[in-house]
Amino acid sequence: MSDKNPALMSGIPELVVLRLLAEREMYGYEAARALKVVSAGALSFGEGVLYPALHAMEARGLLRSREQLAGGRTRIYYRITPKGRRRLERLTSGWRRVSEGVERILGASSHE
Amino acid sequence: MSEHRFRLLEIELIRRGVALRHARRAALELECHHRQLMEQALARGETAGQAARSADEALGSHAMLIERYAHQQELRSWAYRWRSGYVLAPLLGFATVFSAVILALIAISSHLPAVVHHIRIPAPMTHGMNWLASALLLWLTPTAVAIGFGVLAGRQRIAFRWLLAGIVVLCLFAAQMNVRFVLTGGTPAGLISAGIGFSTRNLPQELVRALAMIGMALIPAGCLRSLMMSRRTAFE
Repeated sequence: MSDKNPALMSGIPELVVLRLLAEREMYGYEAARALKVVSAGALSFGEGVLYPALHAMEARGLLRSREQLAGGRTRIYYRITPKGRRRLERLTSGWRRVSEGVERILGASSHE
Repeated sequence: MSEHRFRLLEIELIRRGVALRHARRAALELECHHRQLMEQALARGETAGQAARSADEALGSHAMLIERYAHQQELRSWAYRWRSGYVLAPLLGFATVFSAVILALIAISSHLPAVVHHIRIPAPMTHGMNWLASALLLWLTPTAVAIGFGVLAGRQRIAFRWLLAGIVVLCLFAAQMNVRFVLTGGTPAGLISAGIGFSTRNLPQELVRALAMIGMALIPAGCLRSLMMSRRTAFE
């Protein structure tokens, strides 16, 4: 999720975070690690930017959070809500349409 | 990135309009994340300095994080969204408290024991009670309301101009008010009246009264603000 191309990358943090949290609840650091691992480093960004996105999604009712003390530290775990799942479905189908369209264009260009 | 950086970040987020709850949680989560990044770097064999630098780099700059939070409309505090409301909110707060006190006085006086109708309350006591009611409603109440809003605005890091405008409006309004609480005994036992009036004849006194109240309200607000500024400077 590069900061260098905000128009192209808008909506992606929301999509990938919802997708990750649809599997299981996670806290911020865990989610940042998982993003890095699952995307094989393709989505690299300042890890701190994950938190405003998490907070905003929670404020919109897409996520729910709970605090838990672990090793003397307070961790805030996030999990997806039913509203978040519906949003994830919409974002996923939207993203698939866009990526298929781009793939077709790239494929057509390479055959010319 | 020291621990103070996260307190400073919290202060800056609140100043930029992020709600207290989100600002506190942001500082807590980012600090925790930073510690874990450092532990990871130390485990890789980096020195403490290198670990701190790589954790800073991975987390992102202070300025960038503040921008990201400030950009999220959902995270804005109600006080920041309605900061112009600070101009009228103290006045409404004062009107509410004033009305409540007057209604309470009316309720108390209507339930006074019958004995009051058979005695004569000495004039100095009547004057004293009237003076107390005036001091309470025309001085103490507006000043306390203004101080209360000053503290609230300070906690929410609302720009001083909004608070100042609110206090000036409140104090100018309160300076035009009048109250009479005359308990004489006998039948009727007394009267309670409150009103607002503007007269050019009383204007100088009313302005002096307004200025005195503004001063009294601004002293604690100013002290709180300078305390917060010094704490912020200490963090920096």
